[in-house]
Amino acid sequence: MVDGLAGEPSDEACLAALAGGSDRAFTVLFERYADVVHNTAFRRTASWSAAEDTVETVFLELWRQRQRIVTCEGSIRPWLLGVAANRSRRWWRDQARKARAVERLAGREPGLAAGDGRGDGADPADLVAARVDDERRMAGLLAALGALPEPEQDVLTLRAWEGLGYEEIAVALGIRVGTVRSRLSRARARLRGLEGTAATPRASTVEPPDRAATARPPATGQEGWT
Amino acid sequence: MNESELRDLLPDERPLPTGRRREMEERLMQQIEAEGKTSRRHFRLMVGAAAAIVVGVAALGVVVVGDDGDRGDGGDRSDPAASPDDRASTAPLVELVTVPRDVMTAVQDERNQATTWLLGIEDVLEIPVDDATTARGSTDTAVAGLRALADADPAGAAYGPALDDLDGLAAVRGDVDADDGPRNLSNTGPSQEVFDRYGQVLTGLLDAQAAFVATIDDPELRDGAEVYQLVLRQQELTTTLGREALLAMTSSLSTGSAEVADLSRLHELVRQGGDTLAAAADGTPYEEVTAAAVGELDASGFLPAVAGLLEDGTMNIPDMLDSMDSVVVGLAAAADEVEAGLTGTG
Repeated sequence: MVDGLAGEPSDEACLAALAGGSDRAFTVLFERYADVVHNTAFRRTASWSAAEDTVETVFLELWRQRQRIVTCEGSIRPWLLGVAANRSRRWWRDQARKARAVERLAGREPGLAAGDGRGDGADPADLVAARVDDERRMAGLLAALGALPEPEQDVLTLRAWEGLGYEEIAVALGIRVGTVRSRLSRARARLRGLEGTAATPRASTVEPPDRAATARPPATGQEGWT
Repeated sequence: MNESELRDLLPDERPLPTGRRREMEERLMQQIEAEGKTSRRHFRLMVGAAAAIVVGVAALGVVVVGDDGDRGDGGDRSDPAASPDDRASTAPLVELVTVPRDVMTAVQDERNQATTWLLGIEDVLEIPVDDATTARGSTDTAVAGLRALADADPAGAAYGPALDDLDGLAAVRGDVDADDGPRNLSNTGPSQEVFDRYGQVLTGLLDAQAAFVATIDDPELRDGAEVYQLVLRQQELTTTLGREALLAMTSSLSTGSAEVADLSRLHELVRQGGDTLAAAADGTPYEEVTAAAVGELDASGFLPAVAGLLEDGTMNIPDMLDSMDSVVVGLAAAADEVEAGLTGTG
């Protein structure tokens, strides 16, 4: 038993130990949630490379904010997913900012023709066909969801993809439960309208949509892309 | 489509690659060790007030660290009713409001690098950009971007004086490179002078941004842009006040001294800045996020810490730095939210 932690300590026990500077508590939480954050970040960025980077920044934030973390029913998962969503949003914004700067300097209209950050060519993982296929499929899905307003995308994806309950979504996004309900209701209505436009069938390899025309990930800041 | 179908479209989950996972964990532990357990706080306490200058320079890095801060928030950030056409028509104006932030961040990074280098502590502290070539290159790229934008739109003329000031950074860089003082903590004079010169450029940029914002006809856009501009100004003022307070700790403050007068003036500017910001955001879509940032100024204890220094010459440095960090992080988060709203991406 180290730092008061034994066996499989709860998130709250880990948080209490973390506040006291426990390395072990941090390791336990990292082991417990790294893959969760990794997959969530991928679903927000459509880039495995960006997802890996996001895991690191989210856990660093966990350390830095260790005394302010809000749990929901004893779990820090909603908080982690909320930070992952924000980090992913910032990633999109950074990609757009870089693209804009390059385009501006080149005297062209902003666009996404190159260097849009998806499936970053510098990522060795792009060499793995399956991961590339994931990224293509995810990009198509995000593009389809781009038809929804961002706040609704936030709520819908946390519900449908991360399986969070209403209260957990409220914690993750820092909004009221009533707001979660109303946004989810609207999002579901709009989702029904997407019939036939949704991206790519599972387990198929297809080209991503025309990003310059349609790409709009959920809850991101891709200014200048539309 | 329904939620179940939406779920079915997802690619399979994948674990973090084992090698990456191990590397990541090791790197995180190292970082935690560096900034947590041995702690900036312990470092500060051990070196004491004599190293306030060092800490001050380190604290300036918080401007950028703060810019990366997350709050787990997700409140309304934009006007969902704004149509794509509306956004398209205002896009150039919005860019003229938001792109100066790129320049501001780059200049702040360059300022941190230069002042740190002059004190010979560039290898001791973790700053966002730690070599002059990269820092200056980033500034030049950001400035070129702003210039191209300003040149392309008649309204961009408001940035003319600021761009001239930014051209003047060449002289500052030359003086930094030519500095032949000892690159150690005794070189505070040149370091402070350089900090001030960069600060003047940043103030000019913020003034130009304010002048530009005032010319915007669309009242909704103008209101949001004003909030954005005020948030950025408050950020710069806050870090400047923090640094001035730290430097003041290394000299013996005497009533009526120039240092006390400057510090008092800055303290009042930051206090008023919070009020002005809250008033500007009142009734706009950014009221809530701005209130949170201003609330952090009230709750953090930053201003009382500096006020204590003015009153009796004492200040708890770690507490002041922590409180300043909270304020800057809050302001950076507000700037992100307002920017997302202005660009229609929030």
